[in-house]
Amino acid sequence: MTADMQQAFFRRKGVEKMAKRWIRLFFRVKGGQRVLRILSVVTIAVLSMGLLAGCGSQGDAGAKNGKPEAKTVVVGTGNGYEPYCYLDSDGNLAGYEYEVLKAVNELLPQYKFEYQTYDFANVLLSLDAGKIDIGAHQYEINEERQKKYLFGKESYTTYTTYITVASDNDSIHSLADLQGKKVMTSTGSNTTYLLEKYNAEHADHPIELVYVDHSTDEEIVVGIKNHAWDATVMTKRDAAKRNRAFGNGSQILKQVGDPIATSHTYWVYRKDNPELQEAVDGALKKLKESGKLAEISKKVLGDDYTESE
Amino acid sequence: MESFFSWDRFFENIPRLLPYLAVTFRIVIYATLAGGSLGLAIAILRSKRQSFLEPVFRLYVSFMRGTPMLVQILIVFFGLPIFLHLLGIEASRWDKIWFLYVAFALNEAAFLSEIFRSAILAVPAGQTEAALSVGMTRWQAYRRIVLPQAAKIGLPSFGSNFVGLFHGTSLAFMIGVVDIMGRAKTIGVSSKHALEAYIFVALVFILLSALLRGGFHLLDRKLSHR
Repeated sequence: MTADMQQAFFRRKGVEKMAKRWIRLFFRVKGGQRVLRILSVVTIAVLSMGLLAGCGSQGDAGAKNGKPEAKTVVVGTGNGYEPYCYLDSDGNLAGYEYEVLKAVNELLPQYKFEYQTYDFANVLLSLDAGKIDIGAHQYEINEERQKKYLFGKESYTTYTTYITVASDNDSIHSLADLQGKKVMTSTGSNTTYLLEKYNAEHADHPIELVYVDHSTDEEIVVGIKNHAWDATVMTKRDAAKRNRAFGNGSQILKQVGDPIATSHTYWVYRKDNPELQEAVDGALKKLKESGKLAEISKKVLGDDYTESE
Repeated sequence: MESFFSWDRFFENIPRLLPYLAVTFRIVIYATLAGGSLGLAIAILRSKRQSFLEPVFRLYVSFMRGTPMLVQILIVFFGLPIFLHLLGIEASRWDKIWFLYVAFALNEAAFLSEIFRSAILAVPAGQTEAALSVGMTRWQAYRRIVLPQAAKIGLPSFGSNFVGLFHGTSLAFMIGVVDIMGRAKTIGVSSKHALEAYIFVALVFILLSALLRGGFHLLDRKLSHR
């Protein structure tokens, strides 16, 4: 019996009495022996869990030993935005972000990129928390984000967004037409930031924002088609992609008016990490000059969206 | 709406989804084992004389039972590394699934401690008194007389809690751990068709919970006919 052995051990060492008195004082219970046992079981359980965790991280360290000189950089990206970041049919990360970062990593042998996928709203939070070093999820620059994070200087995609409505909707042509209407958007996106800013300026008659996080293409198309939402905001290429996938040749989504935002996307870094940003920017610049970036864009996105629409 | 559902895609998805059930099982098993031991310890401590830890337990249990699981996962995911950092342990780069184990184990510990405690308290005091009167020590009475009866009483609620935990794990995808639910979502993203995958996941969960409930029912009947 382990309990007997334990007892014998304690007796031999003469600490049982001390432990029991200590436990009596601490828990204000008589005897204290059963508490001692429970505590030892819990301690063993916690220790063995810790040991397991230790084994896990040691395994990781072993994998890194292949390239001892390369510093591991964890890239945080999404898994729900095809064709930028998604999981392929085998469950592996794929998409434009991954392809471009892979090409960047080839130019930067001093780093070894590892990839972690998150929900869109959690990528920047994870950057804050130090879980990742680069945020890669088609990030546009805005004031709010710039206060907290370091953005790359080199962009790798254009991002021009338009109001998108159902093709049978003829009443919406601009942001002003959306006041009082339901607009689907996701938390943490630049579109949400811009629409909320618009609402702050038009507080008397705001746009009704419907926050839908981690929505799939299907949900967006069905929601717009059924008029669950009057409109949403997306790029031309996203609208074309969704029409292709669900339209059976016809147009379900229609884009109207002037762009909501004409911007580019950048990778995002922590403010205390400018070396990484400079290194990646340097590599990205080389990819642009060599035409490799445009090549990847054509291959993955269907056209060259690296400089202009 | 034919374009939104097709049987071909439904069957195509099955081999892609099933392997990810292992992730769900892993979370459930670890959470039940770790949460069960911690819950039992809390239940035993709370069912006896009040210790000075009582307010701590009460706060812990009411927090865990009173806040959404999602909030708890996010608190553990982002908060635990900060806490461990203070202790000198660098946890922010741990594999994401470990945060799920911890979050679900802590949550389960609270729920299970209440189930165990009510089961322990439901055993009549006379049982303990009788055991003591035949010369057993308090711990012997506890282990030989009270706990076996309590296990029988607590089994049905433990079972329904266990089934609930299965569904609960589908929140794992929020922090990017790809379980069967997360895989369904990502299939929806890459193929543009999520409905088939969701329906399959729903069927899997219905089947599993039916099996589990049946299993617990049989176990319960067997124990009560002894």
